[in-house]
Amino acid sequence: MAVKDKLKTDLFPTIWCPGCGIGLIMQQLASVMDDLGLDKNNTVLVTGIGCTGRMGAYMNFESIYTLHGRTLPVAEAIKLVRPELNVIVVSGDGDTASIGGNHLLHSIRRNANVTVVCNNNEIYGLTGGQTGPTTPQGTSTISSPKGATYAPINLQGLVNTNPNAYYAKTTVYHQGPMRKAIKEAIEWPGFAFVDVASQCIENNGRRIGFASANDMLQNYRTEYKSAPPGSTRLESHQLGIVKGQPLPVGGGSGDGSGNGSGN
Amino acid sequence: MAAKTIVIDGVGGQGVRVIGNTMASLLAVMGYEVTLLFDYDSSVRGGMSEAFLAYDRKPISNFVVECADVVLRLADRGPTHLTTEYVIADCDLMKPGERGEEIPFMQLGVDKFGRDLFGNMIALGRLLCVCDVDFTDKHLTEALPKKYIDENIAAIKYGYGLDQDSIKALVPEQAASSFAERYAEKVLAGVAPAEAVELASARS
Amino acid sequence: MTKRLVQGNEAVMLGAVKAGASFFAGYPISPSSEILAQASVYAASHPEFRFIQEEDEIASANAILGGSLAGAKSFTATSGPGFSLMQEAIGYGHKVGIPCVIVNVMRVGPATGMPTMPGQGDLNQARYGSTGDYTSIVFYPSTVAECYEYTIQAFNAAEESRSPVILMSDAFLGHLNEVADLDTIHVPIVPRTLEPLASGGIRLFSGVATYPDGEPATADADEFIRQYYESRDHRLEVAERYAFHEYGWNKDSDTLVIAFGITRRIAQPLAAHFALFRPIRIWPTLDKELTEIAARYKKIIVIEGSDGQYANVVERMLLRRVERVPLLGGRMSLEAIREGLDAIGMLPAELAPSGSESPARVG
Repeated sequence: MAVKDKLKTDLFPTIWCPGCGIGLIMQQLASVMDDLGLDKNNTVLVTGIGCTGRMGAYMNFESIYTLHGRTLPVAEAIKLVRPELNVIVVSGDGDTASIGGNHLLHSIRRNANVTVVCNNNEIYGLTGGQTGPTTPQGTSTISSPKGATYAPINLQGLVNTNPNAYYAKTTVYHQGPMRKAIKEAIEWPGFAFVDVASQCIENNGRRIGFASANDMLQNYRTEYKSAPPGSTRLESHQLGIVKGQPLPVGGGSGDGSGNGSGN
Repeated sequence: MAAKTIVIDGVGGQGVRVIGNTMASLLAVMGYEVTLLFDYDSSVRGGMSEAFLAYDRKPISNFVVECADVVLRLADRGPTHLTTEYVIADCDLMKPGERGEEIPFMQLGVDKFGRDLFGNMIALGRLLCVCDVDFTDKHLTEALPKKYIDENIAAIKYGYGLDQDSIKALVPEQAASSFAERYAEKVLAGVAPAEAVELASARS
Repeated sequence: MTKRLVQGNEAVMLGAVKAGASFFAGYPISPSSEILAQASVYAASHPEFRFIQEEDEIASANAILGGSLAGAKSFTATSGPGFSLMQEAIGYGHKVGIPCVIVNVMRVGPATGMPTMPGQGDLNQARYGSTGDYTSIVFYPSTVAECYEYTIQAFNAAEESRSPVILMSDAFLGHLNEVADLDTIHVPIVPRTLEPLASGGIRLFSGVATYPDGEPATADADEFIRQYYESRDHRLEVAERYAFHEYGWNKDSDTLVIAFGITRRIAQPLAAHFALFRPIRIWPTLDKELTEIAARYKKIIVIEGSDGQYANVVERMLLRRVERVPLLGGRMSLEAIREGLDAIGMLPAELAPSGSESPARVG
């Protein structure tokens, strides 16, 4: 098998704008899947509404393009019914953290054994560039012409409310760390969240002063620094991984506990 | 015969469901067709709690009781649109013009069997007697949960064995006791039933 | 099993298990919560049956979509406010073609309304609650035994139609205990129709209009129309096999009463005076059956727990005026029916309350 077998290359070029960061995530995800032996018989993709959600259509896996914000309930149910499957959620920051925020909170709490790869471009890209839950305070968007009013949501903090969860912050420029994070996240026994900073040049970057996607990538290169080894909390613009205590998880639930999806 | 219709009127926590379930199970064991509808506030405890029970030898179509042959009243929270032939009430719950009787069930549960909960089974016994339900020990054993079965059977039989004379003896001048009313108040206020009995008794 | 007391909500749970359900996701709401509780108890002793209590009804409905795709016959149970939250997922299930069952134990709405008085005000919601055009199959039983039977039929219809099928109930029916022998009810079980996830294919399940290869078809009217009629026709064809209804009482009367679910039970004392039509399949409407039967009657009265939701449907279907007896505010009683009949001048003399001053006008 090869990486390209994971992708429906006959459907390329993709729908994404030139310079979009999502392709860089898809490429790396496909590569990790190949490394780990993930295929259409042992893995399903669950994607949400937004540009990122289109990824499922370009990969040689069964994939569910859910309603806006509903990736996690769908993914968690699949894992509960079929614990032997790898269930990977790929979605954007708006889908995951805003409209899907309540589900995120509770999937974290339940330590749902799913992997979330979050394309975090700090904007609602598909709908033209409105403020999202991750948009930095003060950023000018088409729904915040004088700058975003509120501080962005703290994804790391949310994930780490579960002491058994996995959180990684990386960027599409840092392909090595991103690759490591996606791999570890898929292998993690419990809730795993990979928060990938990714550029949206068309509906965000140009408005905030970047001339090109490459400028945005270069910005990631210079602005993001690796967190010191052993960090238990990542600062803003730090690359790194914060792992909780992994819980051994068996197959299946149905334990009637009312929280039965930590398999 | 037309279906016999019974309404049990109380508040959550008083045992309306226990009495209703036990009577319905007993009648089912005896081969009757039975319908038992519970109507209660979503908050479950302290809110109104009603049981509508109907039984017959033929299947019962309309299970919403609007004309009750017998009402067992543990608190007065009942349906506004209800006509009643006969009322079995805990103390001070009879209304002017009603035909019926008052018996201090909760108090009897404590006095005779050590717990207010057995008052429910005494009330059930009296209800079965008034309805002329001719059950056997075997029926009771089949219908009752295994827990406290001996005490429950004894309490049901005690209630069944009450007659007008013994009721009068139990309630001298109806004892002027507002026990049940106070009990219901306490339960409504969220007090656990056992404690509510103590509080209600203490003030009498 | 022999004859025993069974609760309406319990019968739904037992019917689901009988139908082969192996996944329940739900959120507590009266008067449906017994189904959630019993599913959790069942799951505790049957590891093959999966259960999750979700954070809300949105998650519950989406979870049963996921569970069904994964291969489990899946269901949830709720009441009006929760049913509202489930509507987007129901639309998704129709678009994608996912078999599942949603039980709606109705109370009085809108909003939080009257917890937990019985209502029937979710008929339109069950048909039109989600965005866009789709074809809902909805059943509404009247007895505890029927709760069991039509839960199984709901699962069967869901499999055959590949769509979310709604089983309606109400606060009284859900909380009714009734002697029943469920073992005497035999309904053949339709096996799973949807190939479970990861069976070798690379399907894309999408709520977005797409071509069969997964490419977006969001601007192709012809493709949309083709897919829409294909699924609509399929679901209507399946529904034909589930045309459950009851026609009875005094067929020689000149007046036909239409009642369903709880109202049919309460209306029983009208039996000597009127004919009865009871739709059990609420949606799609029983046009053929009702048109034929209604033609024999001079008058039609719809008795229902809403302000004319079904009466409007019947009027539109038959293109004739129907009389209405709405039972509102949870007042599901013979007395309320009498008052309603009296108000439209159709209360039979024998049913007038004794000692009543109001003259009975119609027999």
